[in-house]
Amino acid sequence: MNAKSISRRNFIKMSAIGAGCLCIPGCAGTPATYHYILTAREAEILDALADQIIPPDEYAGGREAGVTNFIDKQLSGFYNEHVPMYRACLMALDETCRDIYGREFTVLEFDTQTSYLEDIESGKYNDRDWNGYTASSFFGTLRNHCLQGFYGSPRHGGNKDYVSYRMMKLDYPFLVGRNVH
Amino acid sequence: MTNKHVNAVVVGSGAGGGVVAKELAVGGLSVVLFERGKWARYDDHNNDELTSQRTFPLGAYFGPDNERYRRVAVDQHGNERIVYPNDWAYHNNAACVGSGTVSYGAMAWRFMEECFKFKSTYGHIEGSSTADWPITYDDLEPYYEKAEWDIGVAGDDYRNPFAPWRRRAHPMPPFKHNREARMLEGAAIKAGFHPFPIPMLRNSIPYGGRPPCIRMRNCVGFACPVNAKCGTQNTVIPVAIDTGNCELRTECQVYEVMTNGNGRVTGVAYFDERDRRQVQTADIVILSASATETARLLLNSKSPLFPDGIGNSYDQVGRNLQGHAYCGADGLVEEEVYDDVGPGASIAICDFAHNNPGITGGAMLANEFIRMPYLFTGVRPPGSARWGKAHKDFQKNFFKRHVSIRGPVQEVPNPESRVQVSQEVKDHWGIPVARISGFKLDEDIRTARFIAGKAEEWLRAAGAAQIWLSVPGTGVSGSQHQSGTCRMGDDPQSSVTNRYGQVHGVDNLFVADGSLHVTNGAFNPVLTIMALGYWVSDYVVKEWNHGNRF
Ligand SMILES: Cc1cc2nc3c(=O)[nH]c(=O)nc-3n(C[C@H](O)[C@H](O)[C@H](O)COP(=O)(O)OP(=O)(O)OC[C@H]3O[C@@H](n4cnc5c(N)ncnc54)[C@H](O)[C@@H]3O)c2cc1C
Ligand code: SF4
Repeated sequence: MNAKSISRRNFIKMSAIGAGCLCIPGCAGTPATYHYILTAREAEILDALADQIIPPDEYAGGREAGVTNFIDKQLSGFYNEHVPMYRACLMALDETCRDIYGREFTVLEFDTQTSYLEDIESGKYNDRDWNGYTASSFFGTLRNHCLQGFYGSPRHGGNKDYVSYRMMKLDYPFLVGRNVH
Repeated sequence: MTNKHVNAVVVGSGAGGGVVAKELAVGGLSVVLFERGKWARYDDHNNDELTSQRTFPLGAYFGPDNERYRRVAVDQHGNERIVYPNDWAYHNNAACVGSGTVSYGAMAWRFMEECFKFKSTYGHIEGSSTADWPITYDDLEPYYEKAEWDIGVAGDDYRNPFAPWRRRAHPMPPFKHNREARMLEGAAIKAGFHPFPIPMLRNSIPYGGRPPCIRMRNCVGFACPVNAKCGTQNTVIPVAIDTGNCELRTECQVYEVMTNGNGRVTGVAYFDERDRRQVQTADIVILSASATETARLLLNSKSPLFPDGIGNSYDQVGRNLQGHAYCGADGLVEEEVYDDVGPGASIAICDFAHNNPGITGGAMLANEFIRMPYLFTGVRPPGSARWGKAHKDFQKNFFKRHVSIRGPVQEVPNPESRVQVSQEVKDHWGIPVARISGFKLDEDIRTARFIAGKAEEWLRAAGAAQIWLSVPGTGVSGSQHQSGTCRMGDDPQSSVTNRYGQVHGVDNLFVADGSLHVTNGAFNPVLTIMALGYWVSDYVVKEWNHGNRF
């Protein structure tokens, strides 16, 4: 890890502690997590996107299952090449949103967020310059990464408490000789 | 320090190479078996779908790695891009001791007699390089038997009326069906098909000193925790090493087959585990590096006598690359059929592998291996939501009510589907990488449509409420079933080796892997690759013991 990302990490850590101090136990504030790559704002947008891709119901949604954490962790490693795309497109997504809806993505109603993303997916905003990226193809990659985070092994930082496996009624954790036949 | 001269170098410890190393070592030759990967073990990735050999967005655990390996993929419009092993366009199989046989699904098919006579059965197909094999099923039959008994197969071919003849039954009884296959069995009979249990390179009873299979969810794409899956790494390779005649050298990347001024092979050059250049001399060299990498090695082995690569005087090396035109149908059923008894694939029919009126070739059809959670996110009827609430609900409601039938349609080989070496792109060691280009013929797609229709019939008989077909696109195939790039034949102008895998014009150089396949059968290829390993070795050892030094 280079000096720049370490300092960012420390910075986020500090601000997260700061936020934690203001927060009384049990309040619905920003959880005191920090990220390797993502800024607090980027993580906030990604949390909202993760809940769109996998909405919460009787089982956790993408946000609660740690999808943002998964993506952040991969961006600092295996998906490092995708960092510039995330950096550019999360902000562009928010900008286009303000342009169309007059508000930031994270404060839109859930259903409005959904229809905005459906438009992105169908290519409606592909003529906009998302800092050199195409809106719909970013969305495709984002969708895949969210699904990987939610349905992949918890060892990669998502699928907290094996939520997707519990939801699909699959025994986990996997213990050889115990829950096999 | 120079390496001690040996009788034989085998490059690649996968399906073909593992067998050859054992047969040569047992036959009394001194052997060095090279493998670019390491020994692979179960422990580190036991429930990790994202790094399995079947779905690998975060890298394929059984290799190769994304840091040192890359290829060039060319699409049908001629656009080139650099691809890494975790991209499907890389056409990966594996890179570890045993290669794909560590993590495979372990279906153990013999090709049918017609598979060896594709051209004489179906005639010439426009745009193809279709041909018959120079050997027949009858030639290979004893070697299939050897593979089945030496490595271990559970099955009962006598329940398959379309099975080719055999001298000896499988060494182990077949597996019992899981719930999904029991349901499909009745449906197949109702549809007039002839279902039977898939032959498997897995222990159904204790065999070879290893225990029986415990029927897990994560089999295909993973190593076996109890050693019940039979690969070359836990059967023939240990036997080879135990003879004292075979040294396995892992983490060694062979980059060139060396020749002298007379055009004879003298050995191989390689990078060792510390990236140092080394040379291993040998009397004979056998390439078993897989269809893509064997072709690449030959093409990269240039010298004044072989300016275009060894064995490539007629521009045949790397051509006729083929995998399978995989197709099938998916269906949703009323009752839960998922009982978590792995590995999932259990029942098959061979009714449409050949002899389909008006159709070229065909395929065996079988139910699919268990779809792991992330893989299942891509299983949806056309037009379904790809994300959001409906997508999550589908995942929740249909995972245990989904049935999938798939078949490997035998492709008609074409010379434009090929492996070349890139002029610009190099790997970690500075060696030109494989460049993969080509397409499937329309005829392949036509057959795939026909076979998918048969899968649909089967699911209909099973009472599936909603059924959708899957027919492949026309992109080049290869990947786990890659084959054909150094095909055998009697004519040096249209093949790379003779019927014994001996490279035309270079007597002490052999090929023994999927590259040899003239056509790739209506079946998964691995047992045929193993049988060819025995076939080639048998020739080499017999000749060697008669004093032939090639
Ligand atoms: C997930 C999965 C499931 C599968 N399921 C089935 C199935 O059910 N049934 C079936 O029939 N087949 C199956 N296969 C396919 C099967 O594994 C292959 O057909 C078979 O392994 C190919 O044999 P091969 O000898 O041609 O090449 P490989 O087995 O791939 O062996 C090649 C070896 O050479 C090594 N190598 C390559 N280049 C070099 C070099 N330059 N220097 C040193 N070493 C080198 C590689 O690392 C590798 O170990 C499956 C494969 C996978 C990955
Ligand atoms: S299903 Fe059987 S063969 Fe496959 S990994 Fe599990 S125990 Fe091994």
